[in-house]
Amino acid sequence: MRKILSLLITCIVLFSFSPAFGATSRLFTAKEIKKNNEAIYEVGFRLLNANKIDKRMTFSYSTKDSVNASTSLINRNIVIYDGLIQYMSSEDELAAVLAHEISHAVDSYNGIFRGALEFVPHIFIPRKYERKADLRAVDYMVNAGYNPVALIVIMNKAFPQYRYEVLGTHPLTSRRMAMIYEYIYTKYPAFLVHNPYQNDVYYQNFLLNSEHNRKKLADKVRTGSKKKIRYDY
Amino acid sequence: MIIRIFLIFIMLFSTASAAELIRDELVETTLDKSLKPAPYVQKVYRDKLVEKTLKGKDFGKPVPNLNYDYSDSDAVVVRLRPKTKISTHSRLKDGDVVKFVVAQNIVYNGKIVLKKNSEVSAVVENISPNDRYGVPANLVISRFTTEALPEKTLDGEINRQGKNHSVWVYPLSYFLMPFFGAGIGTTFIRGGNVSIPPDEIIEIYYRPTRFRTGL
Repeated sequence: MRKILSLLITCIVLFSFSPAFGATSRLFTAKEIKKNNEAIYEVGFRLLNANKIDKRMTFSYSTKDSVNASTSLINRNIVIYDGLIQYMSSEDELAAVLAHEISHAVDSYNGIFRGALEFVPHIFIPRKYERKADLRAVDYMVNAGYNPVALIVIMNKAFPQYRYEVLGTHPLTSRRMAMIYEYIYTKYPAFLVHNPYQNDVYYQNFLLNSEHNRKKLADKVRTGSKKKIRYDY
Repeated sequence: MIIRIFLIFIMLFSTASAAELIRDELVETTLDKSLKPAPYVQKVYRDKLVEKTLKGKDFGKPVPNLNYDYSDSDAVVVRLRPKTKISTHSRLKDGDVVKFVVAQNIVYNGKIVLKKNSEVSAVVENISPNDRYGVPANLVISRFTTEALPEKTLDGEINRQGKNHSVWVYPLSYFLMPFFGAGIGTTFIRGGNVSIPPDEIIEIYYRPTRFRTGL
């Protein structure tokens, strides 16, 4: 029994160090990493400066192939993974993801003990903070001279669509996109009137898959209702 | 000699494999040979909501704040009071304009630049309501402007959070769980709202020399 146990432990230790178990799927050159890092710093700090965000935070790039970006609520370091970078085709899209993460980092300064307990509500009702971060991201992007429609484009391109959001940390992507669209429509309509993404294949797909949700918004605009729209799956 | 045998072998093999091609006799006998698939034409989806309700209107593109210069720290504190109570409990929504009044005369270089009781407007940038599990409400107000100043803009932001009850709701729910699952009841405790009463003083800045945009 002891032998089997020791063999099992050895196997776990060995496999955990083997490349097959690592998240990195390809090799990166130092030049490639530096280039991605620099792009992230430049866009990240431009967003901070243009929005007069006086809270400190840092940005970094990870070569993991996870299609994700994350913010540490402990040290306010924002990480973008290579898996997500692979989906990006413009600086606007990078700014969209960073602006969303910056909103989380700004929130981490709220509350008692310099925001040390801020992670607790994030555990309970994470979707509330995700919604807030999406909308703040639009503001941050506009103030820094980026096109907020890119947030819809990168979401439609890279974020999967789950069935239900009850147990999820994020609202359904279709709902997020519709909400962002409504926010841009009401607050920054100029970006929709002069929309460079109009013929973009990903934005076109958004127009196709959000038709019923945009109809709900059209009804709201027509009736002048102030009610919050419950967007469809 | 060996090459010849090899070539014959290849020829035999290739004819054998060619003979195995199966023809679709049904298609050949019943369908018109001039039929061709229609070329792919990309369909362009139009945003009819934008076309109907926004096109032709002049919104003016928002001006980004890219010409910032934070080397100048010349700033005068402006103390404001809300005209009416501002609360996340009320019907406030994103983009609403809220009004403040200047609480005392603002003096710069010995001159009064902003008189007491001058009106200042600001925009509700983000409002997110309180929620279950003691999760607090959040309120962000910025873009302070006043007609009483030639530059019109003031610098500052209100970023408030209600009382964060989740820090005690979470342990309490765990503590009560062994008592017939009583901890579940604590999940209905809501977090605090953000409230700014009319007598509360808020500090923002007047920056006389810094380049300012619409922010």
